[in-house]
Formats: sequence, structure tokens, C-alpha cells
Amino acid sequence: MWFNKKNILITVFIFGIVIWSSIGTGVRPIPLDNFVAFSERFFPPNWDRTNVALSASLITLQVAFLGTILALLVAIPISFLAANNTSPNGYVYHTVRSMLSFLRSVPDIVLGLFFVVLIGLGPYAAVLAIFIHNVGVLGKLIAELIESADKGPQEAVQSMGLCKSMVALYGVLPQIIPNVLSHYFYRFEVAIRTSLILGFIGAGGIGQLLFNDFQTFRYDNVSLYVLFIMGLVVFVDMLGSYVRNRVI
Amino acid sequence: MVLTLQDVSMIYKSKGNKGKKEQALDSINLSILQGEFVGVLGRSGAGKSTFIRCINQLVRPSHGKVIWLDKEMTTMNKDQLCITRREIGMIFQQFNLVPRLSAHKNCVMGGFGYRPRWKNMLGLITAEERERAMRALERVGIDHMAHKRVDQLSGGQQQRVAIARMIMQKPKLILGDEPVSSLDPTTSKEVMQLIRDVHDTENMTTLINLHNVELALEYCDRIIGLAEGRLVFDGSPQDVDDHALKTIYG
Ligand SMILES: Nc1ncnc2c1ncn2[C@@H]1O[C@H](COP(=O)(O)OP(=O)(O)OP(=O)(O)O)[C@@H](O)[C@H]1O
Ligand SMILES: [Mg+2]
Repeated sequence: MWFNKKNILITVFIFGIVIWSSIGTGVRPIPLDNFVAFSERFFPPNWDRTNVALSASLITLQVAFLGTILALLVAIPISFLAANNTSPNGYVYHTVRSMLSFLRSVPDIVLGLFFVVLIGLGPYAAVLAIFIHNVGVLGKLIAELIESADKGPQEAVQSMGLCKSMVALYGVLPQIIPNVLSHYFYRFEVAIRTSLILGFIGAGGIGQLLFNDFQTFRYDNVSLYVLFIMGLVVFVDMLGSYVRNRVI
Repeated sequence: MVLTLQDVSMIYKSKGNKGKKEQALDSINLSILQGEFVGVLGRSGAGKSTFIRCINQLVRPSHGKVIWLDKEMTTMNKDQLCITRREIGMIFQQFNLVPRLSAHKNCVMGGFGYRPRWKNMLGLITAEERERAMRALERVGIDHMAHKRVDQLSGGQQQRVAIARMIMQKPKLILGDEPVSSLDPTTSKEVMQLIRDVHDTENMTTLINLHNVELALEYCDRIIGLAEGRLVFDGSPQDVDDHALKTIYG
């Protein structure tokens, strides 16, 4: 069943592209001694920097949280205007949709560069970049949840004599809350990674520490920061599943 | 006459299907008297759901008039419709309760049509409303489950909550779109009996789609039959003989 002419041809074809891409990107085996010598410079982590790493991690966490929670608060009302079943009319629907896709189309890194220039170095620029990008992302995701929400409760609320905004509030919102939270926590996790990268361009947090010490070859510091970053991601992931389990 | 349908037609223009038009209702003329309990029979696809929804304008008919208590619903704007819909309760095959909320909260919502918008926005509930919802749940025999989430209730229990929610709404007309089709035979009878009780004690008028002929004959005062969107039968349960069933079900 698996071994027929078509599948073998496809496999050979894909393998060919793999080889071609590897040549193009210079993929080759890394000499093991090279690797060991390099790795040794990362150990042991420099535990003396624990306090610095901790406070920088908290900044990163604050940036990601503030940027995404503000985005969520703004995105929820907007998404009802961007969903075809709750939007007041076609004009509003199309305008809001295009606005959201415009916000999404600018990568958060580019927004970060822009705000660093506009308001100066520091975490505030990262908060704004994450906020704006995520209004676009969450607005679209939540609008899709609204569109695919069960029609039944909406009909029921409508038949009780409630107007459109109440149908949204009582017929749609209670249904979609668990999925909204799932999306939110995923974006929160992504925002942690974004704020690390934004740290490389001077937006503070543990990303900036990592970048600076990497450039000055302090690999023992770098390995400590990496441990903290892993801790941050695991923490947000655990928080997300805890909250979701409480809500669903 | 509390409800009159004049020449009501509904043509769906489906989005897919190459814009093919689907005539779901074809010139329905009908008058319903105060206090009647009407059962609507018809095959799947005959237009029963469309018929019921055209009455409270959840589906707006393509042609014709729906007149409820001397008010022409077909020409109303959104705000007038909201006010008028409060007088018309509706129960559904899939119960259509708001998931993740308790039976009691769902029930309280039945009265929201009468409150100012800001109060609904904030979701403020007075002690009187809370008490009234509790009595409605008592009425349908589900008060001991008042604070359970509705998604954790059985089908029969959920339909009882939906009926309590409708009682909260204080309607004059009850519409039902196959309210017992998802329930087992015994529960179906209990729920039908409950609807009939509410209808009798509150002096309501009722129109219900049913796919079970025996239930229709047992609980209804008047039977109407739809086939391919047309009204093909209108009479008392005694008139429903083999010939009539053949006209309705083909
Ligand atoms: N939203 C819609 N868009 C397009 N066509 C529709 C729509 N709703 C119903 N129809 C069509 O209208 C006709 C009547 O449908 P309706 O749901 O009223 O039938 P029904 O008698 O309630 O059937 P059932 O017993 O299966 O519920 C069907 O042919 C159906 O395909
Ligand atoms: Mg139906």
C-alpha cells in the first residue's frame, strides 16, 4: 500500500529538496570536540547573577502580561464588530476587519524598533509593540470564535426580546470564554518570546541581558539567563492550564 | 383572533448552491384564536421550523403579513420587534440554554427583555428577580438543581429550565420548534404535559411543531399540516384520519 511508484517518486523529490536546501544553507556535521569546547564555556552558570536575572525576568513577564492583557481588553469589543453575525452592518464589518489585518501585518519586531526610536529605549516600547500587534491577532481570533459560536443560544436570547448587543453579551460571550482564554494564554507565551527578542534592540528585560552578555562572551551568564527563560515559559504554560481548568 | 398570517411565503437564497432559491413556505393563510393549542405536523423539510420562526420574525418572511394582537410584525423595525418579542416565548429542540451558566441564571435571563439596557449590561439582578426565577424553577420541578450548570443537566431537565425561562418572560404566545424531539418517550410526555399546564393556567396561546403524531393528537386542540411549504391540513385532532395523514406525510 505504501510502496507504489507515486509515493517513491514523491519521497525522492522531497529528499532532493532537502539536499538542495542543505547545500544552500551550509548544513554540515559539527566536529564533536569543537562542540564540547564551546559548551564548556557555558558551565557552570554564573549563579552570582541570580538577582539581576530574576529582576530582569520579572520585567519581561510584566512586558508580556501588560501588552497582551491590554490587547485582550481592547480586542474583545472590537472583535464583535469584526464578526459577521454580531457586526451592526457590512460597512463596519469590512472596515474593522481590514484595520485588524493591518495591525497584524506589521511584525511586532518592526513595531518595537519604531517605538524604541519614538519613545526611547526601555520596556515601555516593548509593551506598546506587543499591545498593538496582539490587538490585531486576538481581534481576528476572537471574531472567528464569535462567528462559529452555537446559533441556538443566540436565537433564544433574541426571541426573549433582547437587542443585538445583549445577544452578543448573553448569547455569545459565555460560550466562547474558555476558547478566548486558550488563545490569550498562547499569545501571552508568544509575547514572552517576543519581549526577549525586543530586548536585543534595547527594550529591557532578560532578553537585553542575554544579548549584551552574549556579545561580551560571558557565556556563563548567558546559560543562567537561559535557565530563567525556560522557567518563565514553563510558568506561563502552567498558569494557562490552571486557569483554563478552573474556567471550562 | 390573536394571530393572523396572510399570504406568508419564505424563499431562502442560499449562499452556496449557485444561489439556488429554496421556497420553504408558500402563501400560508392562517388565523389562530386566543387560547388555542396548535400542533404543527409535517415531514422533515416541510417548512415547520421556518413557519414557527416567521411568526416571531427570527426569520423575516419574503412576502406576506404576520399580525399579532393587531400589530403587524412584518413591517416592524428592530426596536419595535424587540419590544413585541417579549410577548412571545419560544422553546427549542436543542433547548438553547446559555452554556456554562447555572439553571437559575438562565432562568433570570428570561425577564431581561423588560429591563433597561444598562442593567443588562452590568448583569445586576434584584432580590425580587432572583426569587421570581426560583419560583419559576419550582413550577417546573427543577428548583433543587437551580445552581447546577445547565450543561450538566439531562435533556429533560434542560428543557424544564428552558420552560422556566419562558415563564419568567411572561409571554402571551408560546412557540415550540420540536421541543420534545430530543427526549425519550416518557420524558416527552412529561414535558408536553408541563407545557400544556402552563398554557392552561396562564391562559396562553400555543403553536408547537411536533414530529410525533400521537403526542400531537393527545395534547393539541387543533392540528395543522405542512407539506412542501404549503398548508395542506387544518382541523381538530378527531379529523386526523388516514387520509389526512397521507396528505401531510405523502
Ligand atoms: N437558513 C436556510 N437557508 C437556506 N435554506 C433553508 C434554510 N433553512 C431552511 N432551509 C430550507 O427550507 C426548507 C424547510 O426547512 P425547515 O427547517 O423549515 O424544515 P422543517 O420542517 O423544520 O424540517 P425538520 O423536521 O427536518 O426540522 C428546507 O428545504 C431547507 O433546506
Ligand atoms: Mg425543523
